[in-house]
Amino acid sequence: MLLACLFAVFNRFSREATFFTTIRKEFRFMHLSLDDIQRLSRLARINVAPAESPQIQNELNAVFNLVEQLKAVDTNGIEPLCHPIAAIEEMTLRLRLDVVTESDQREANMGNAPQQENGLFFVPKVLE
Amino acid sequence: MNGVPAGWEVVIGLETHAQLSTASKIFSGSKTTYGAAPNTQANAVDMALPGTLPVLNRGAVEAAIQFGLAIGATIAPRSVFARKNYFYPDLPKGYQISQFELPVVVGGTIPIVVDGVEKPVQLTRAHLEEDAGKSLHEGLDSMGVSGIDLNRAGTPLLEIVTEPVMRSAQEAVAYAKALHGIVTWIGICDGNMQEGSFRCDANVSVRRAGDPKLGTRCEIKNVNSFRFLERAIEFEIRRQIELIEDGGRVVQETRLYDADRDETRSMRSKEDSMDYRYFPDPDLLPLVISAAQIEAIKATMPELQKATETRFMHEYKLSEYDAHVLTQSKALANYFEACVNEGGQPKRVANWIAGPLSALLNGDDELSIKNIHVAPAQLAQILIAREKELISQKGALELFEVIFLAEDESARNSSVEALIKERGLEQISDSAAIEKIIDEVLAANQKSVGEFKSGKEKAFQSLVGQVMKASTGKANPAQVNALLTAKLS
Repeated sequence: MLLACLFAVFNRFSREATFFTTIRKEFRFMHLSLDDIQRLSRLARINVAPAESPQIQNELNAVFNLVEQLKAVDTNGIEPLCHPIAAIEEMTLRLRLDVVTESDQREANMGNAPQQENGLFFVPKVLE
Repeated sequence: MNGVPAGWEVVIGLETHAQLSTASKIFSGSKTTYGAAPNTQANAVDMALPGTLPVLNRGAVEAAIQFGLAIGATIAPRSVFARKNYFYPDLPKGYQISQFELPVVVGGTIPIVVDGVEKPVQLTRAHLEEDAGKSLHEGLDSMGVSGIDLNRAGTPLLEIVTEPVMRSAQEAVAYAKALHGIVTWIGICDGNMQEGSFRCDANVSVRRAGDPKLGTRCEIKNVNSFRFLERAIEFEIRRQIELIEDGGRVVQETRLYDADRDETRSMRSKEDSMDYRYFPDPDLLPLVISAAQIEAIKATMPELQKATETRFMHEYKLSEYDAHVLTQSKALANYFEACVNEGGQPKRVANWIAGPLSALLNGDDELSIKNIHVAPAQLAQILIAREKELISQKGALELFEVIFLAEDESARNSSVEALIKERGLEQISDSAAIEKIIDEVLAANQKSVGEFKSGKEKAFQSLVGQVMKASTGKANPAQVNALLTAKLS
């Protein structure tokens, strides 16, 4: 969730920039407004009461200050490291054979569903 | 005329989701069969239960490579899976695993032909991703709930994106059909649009002719046939042009096509909800594809549609038209070649497929070349019997229909020879036998003979009819004509 929030902000401040350039070049100055907090809370589906907003704003800005410290390091010519394990040892993605290995586990899988009927999970009505 | 009003230019790009025909899901070992009872094909990974991790399906990767090779694209030696974040009940993880910055297939071209003019459609990319589940609302309104079926969640998709290079609804449809032809030809997608295996979204914008700046685009979703794709785009073009001519502005948004009302309507605005906050998925290392792997897949690829078409023209001396018709699908092309290998004369086989076979297939949507009962050997035998004048054209058609429509196995498997005898379809091509019948008919129809000799052409046809009737339709009509002419002159 925190990751998602961070990237929401990244994207907000660099609409045109690609992801990798985003983390390299942006954030010379980063300060979230209260509007940003409201928007983030909507995107994250986390209800933030207006009274809580300033506190969350401070906390998130503190996170971004950390990011800015990281940004200060010169990373020119260094490949973005999205998968730290790949830096420790040579590793590439493992693939599985295209075979069906799972049987029907519906009963077990739905055991904890608060509401269900005819094999369907019931959720509060989705409005489109 | 391409349906675009003078003074305007239309810009269309297509995004197509092709469901890959793998046995299991893209990141789990669940089945992908369509139409199963709800939630019987969703396992812990598909449901995003805590502690589960995705493991990529090799079959999905190979399908993507095959597609890239088929359209002359670059297969990325290294591509990265990313999370596309949004909340919806049929997306259990709260994100869709997709590819963003570094897709597996880059570039490529698909040629289309509209009004006899060939045009290349450039592709931007094709990337692997997982499908979401399904939300069901029907009949649940009163309960205030939606039903969630996660069987589809995790089904592998290849999203294929074009550059904004199409200029009319007709071009967009031609592209969609060409793409459909490719993915079904190489067998990576079953192409079933009703079941959602091949879904097109169209990005449409308009601008005044000559304007270098692109207009604001709208994305049209929910189009499940080529006809609807054309109509949806045409509606959208009209809507946008009218809006601008009336002094309004197009708003960037997603619009749903409503086939019943033949219109598009606003679904959601892109303003807020569309911030997907993509970032590389830490659960999945980069996908690395070696040159050797690409070469290995290249070696197993079927001959492509265009190549088959050209080969049919040369190898079987078929016209471009015939070769084109026969390569509308891999199954059709295979059927043609199987018939030829069984001894059918290529041009005759081609005519039969384009004629009687197509006519029978068109009568019923459920039937397709894949499950027709007439074995290639049977059709070849029918055509050989016809070539040897053992049966008439009418008899050949009857035989073909009998086998085609047969309900039970034994009728389907009967030999053509036995069926000809059984149904009394042997054609009489023995001149002596036909002459004998003619003599009898002439003797019994002196009045018609007299009329013919006094110049009534019609009387001749009447006599032919009498001979055919006397032979219970079995006499070779060409021979009857020739012999009768000789007798009467």
